Amino acid sequence: MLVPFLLTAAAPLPVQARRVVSLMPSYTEIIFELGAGKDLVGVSNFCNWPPAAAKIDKAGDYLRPNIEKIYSLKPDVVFAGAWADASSSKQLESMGVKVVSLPEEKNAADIFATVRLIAAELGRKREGEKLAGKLAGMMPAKLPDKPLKVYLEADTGGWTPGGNSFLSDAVRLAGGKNIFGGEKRGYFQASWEEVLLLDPEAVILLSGTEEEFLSRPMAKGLAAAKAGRIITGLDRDAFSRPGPRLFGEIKKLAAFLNVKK
Amino acid sequence: MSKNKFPVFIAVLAAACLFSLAAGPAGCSNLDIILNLRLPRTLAALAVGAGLGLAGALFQGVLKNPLSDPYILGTSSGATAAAVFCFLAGIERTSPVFFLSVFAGAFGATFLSYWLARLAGRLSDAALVLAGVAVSAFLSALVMLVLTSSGARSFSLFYFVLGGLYSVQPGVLAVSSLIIAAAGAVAMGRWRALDAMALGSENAYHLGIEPERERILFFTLACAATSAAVAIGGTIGFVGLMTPHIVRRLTGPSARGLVPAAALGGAAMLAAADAAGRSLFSPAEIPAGIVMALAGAPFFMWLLWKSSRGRN
Amino acid sequence: MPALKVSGLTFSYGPRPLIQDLSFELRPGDFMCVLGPNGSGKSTLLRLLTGFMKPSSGSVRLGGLEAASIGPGRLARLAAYVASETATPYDFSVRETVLLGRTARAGFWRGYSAEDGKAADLAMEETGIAPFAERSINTLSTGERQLVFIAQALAQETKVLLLDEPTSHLDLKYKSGIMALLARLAGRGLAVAAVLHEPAVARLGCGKALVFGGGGKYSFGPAAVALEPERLAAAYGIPPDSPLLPK
Repeated sequence: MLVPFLLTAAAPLPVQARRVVSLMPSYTEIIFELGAGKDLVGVSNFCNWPPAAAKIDKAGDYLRPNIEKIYSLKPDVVFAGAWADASSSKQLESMGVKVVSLPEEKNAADIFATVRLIAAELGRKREGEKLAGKLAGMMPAKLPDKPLKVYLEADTGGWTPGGNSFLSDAVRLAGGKNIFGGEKRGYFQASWEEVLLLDPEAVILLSGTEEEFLSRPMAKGLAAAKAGRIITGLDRDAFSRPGPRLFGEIKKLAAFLNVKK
Repeated sequence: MSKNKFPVFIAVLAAACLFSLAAGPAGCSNLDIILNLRLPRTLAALAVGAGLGLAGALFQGVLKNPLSDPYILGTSSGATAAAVFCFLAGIERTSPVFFLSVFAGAFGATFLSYWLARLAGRLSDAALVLAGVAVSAFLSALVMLVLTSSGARSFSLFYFVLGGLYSVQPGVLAVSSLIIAAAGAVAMGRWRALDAMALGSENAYHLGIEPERERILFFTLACAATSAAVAIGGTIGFVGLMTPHIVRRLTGPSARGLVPAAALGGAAMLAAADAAGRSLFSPAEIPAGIVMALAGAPFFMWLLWKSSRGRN
Repeated sequence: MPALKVSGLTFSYGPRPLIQDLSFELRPGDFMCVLGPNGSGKSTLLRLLTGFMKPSSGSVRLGGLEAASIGPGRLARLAAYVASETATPYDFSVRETVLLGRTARAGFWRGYSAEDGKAADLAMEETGIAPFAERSINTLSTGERQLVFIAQALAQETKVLLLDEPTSHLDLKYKSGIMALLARLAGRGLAVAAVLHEPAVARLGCGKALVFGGGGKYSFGPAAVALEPERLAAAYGIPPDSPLLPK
């Protein structure tokens, strides 16, 4: 009876999470931006940014978290995607590990919400507000009246985001318009014929080369190819993660799209 | 008996080609899209389908086993595994080394299944299917292991493994078509031997055929056709299984009519399946491999059910 | 010249010989039955005669040629073999199946010649299966199917016809029918050897008999002598007055 009481009394106030596990690369990047990188004791296999994240213990990934590893790290809190693997979260919770399931980000506003949720959990609300404000400030102030039609190929073979993906919103914020933004899907393989019909004015390739793209049937006839707007200069990791670096990439993309041709 | 049925196959093939050329979000009026986009893709579907249909007919005949096809025997998995290793090793898809490796993968996996099935003594239909499943599962797991640990390019390779015709390189299509046509021509020249093998290898020997030699020859032809098909479109299953069963109803079981008909039928089937996959769910497209699995897996179950009833 | 001449034939699966120093010959017109207990080497003998299996020593000469030294194509024109049962999952028609007997005589690329067709039709007439020429072999009864494969062997137009238990799965009517057919074929000059399961059936027309006694022992001679109950009883290891033996 006495011992737990003493321990509780001895704990410092306010309670701050000390041992943190992040199962998404974007959460890891946010945690570092909040200045809590030193609290991370485990990250996902995909977490490679910032460079300091590479030295932290790997604990599986968002689809297949390594439950035993996570448990052995004795975390105070685990950040997981609510959409990723509910059964693993339940399993961890049943072992007494606190799991915070964050909703999937479908646009920039959702990303700010994630930043605030993580900050609150880590007792760094002030830093959270600051980061969200800083990121919002990086977005182009004014969107064009007639945005360019953009085809974004995330993986070769026509894999592209639909309107349910934050990537579609990222394209909008950069002054473009995802040609498949009207599709109520996250990520799908688009038919090449449809791409030709929609005739994008800019093409973003996150993987593959411009050469391979232009070798596809009739690719050279696309407005984007004629205007020389085949964009391969974005950082794949930074652009495809709903984290702080996305906003720098949006700025970069806005510059690419605004070049007068 | 088969000769007067050939107009039927030509008509079915023509219908499938027309469907493949006409189906798509751009409709039928855009000649540019039909000629530059749908035509090459249709040709690729025809070549892959012909290669797989041919391989299926050869395997089913030479093994006297109606449940065999390049997908079930592990031939496709062997070819796919070899192709994935070539991609990761940076070997060009049009180089001879690529085609030789893919063929070696197909042949090695097929012989492994065959050898495993023979270990049990007499070669039974069930043992062959089980051995094929074991070999395929192992190779698929190996490919997945390599893909999950290799990072950057793995996503597009993953969809190669799934099988589809999204991007077709003209060079690969040309070489593969030649290989498939050559394999088909040699197989048609030896239709008698294949018919004799369909009565069992001892019977074949007494009819004047050398069973061991013919088995290696037909395995080689079927593996060449399969690997050429895999080089174009990855792992596409069930074409080789279904086509011979369907065309056999029209041509009869003799390889003389069956082999060319299975090639034509496979070509028609895959052209139609690919056209359906890229037009039904537009603007998204469903890889032909998934369309075939949706149609083929129930067909396989039906075959199993039928063959178990035949035995009782 | 004998159609088939076997001399000093020895074969073993393990250390003990199954067939030891076997010699006999068949002339055109001979109809020989091969009898003996299970596992005494009857079916193995037929496979040695066609070269499908190779003997450890001794020789098998078909029409003057050493069986072990010629390829299956040549062999299929010298000796035809009918297995005890042939099953295939595919619905070959009766005529297609019989035509396959022409495999070793037809060229590879082309279809069957008029001569091939004539040989097949003749074989179907001779075996009485012409009425179901277009039916699938899988729709026939066991007896009818056995006749189809005998017709296939006849279409090979060989001088020697070897059959492995051609009557064992059949009812009495088919047993006697097939034995009569084989006797008729021997009558027109073929050398016929058939492995039989029941000695009584051998009485239906066999002129010669080869009886294995197990452990490599055998006796060969005219059927009237070789099929005497005492000899058979010794070979099969049953009492000489057993009702199973032919009287």
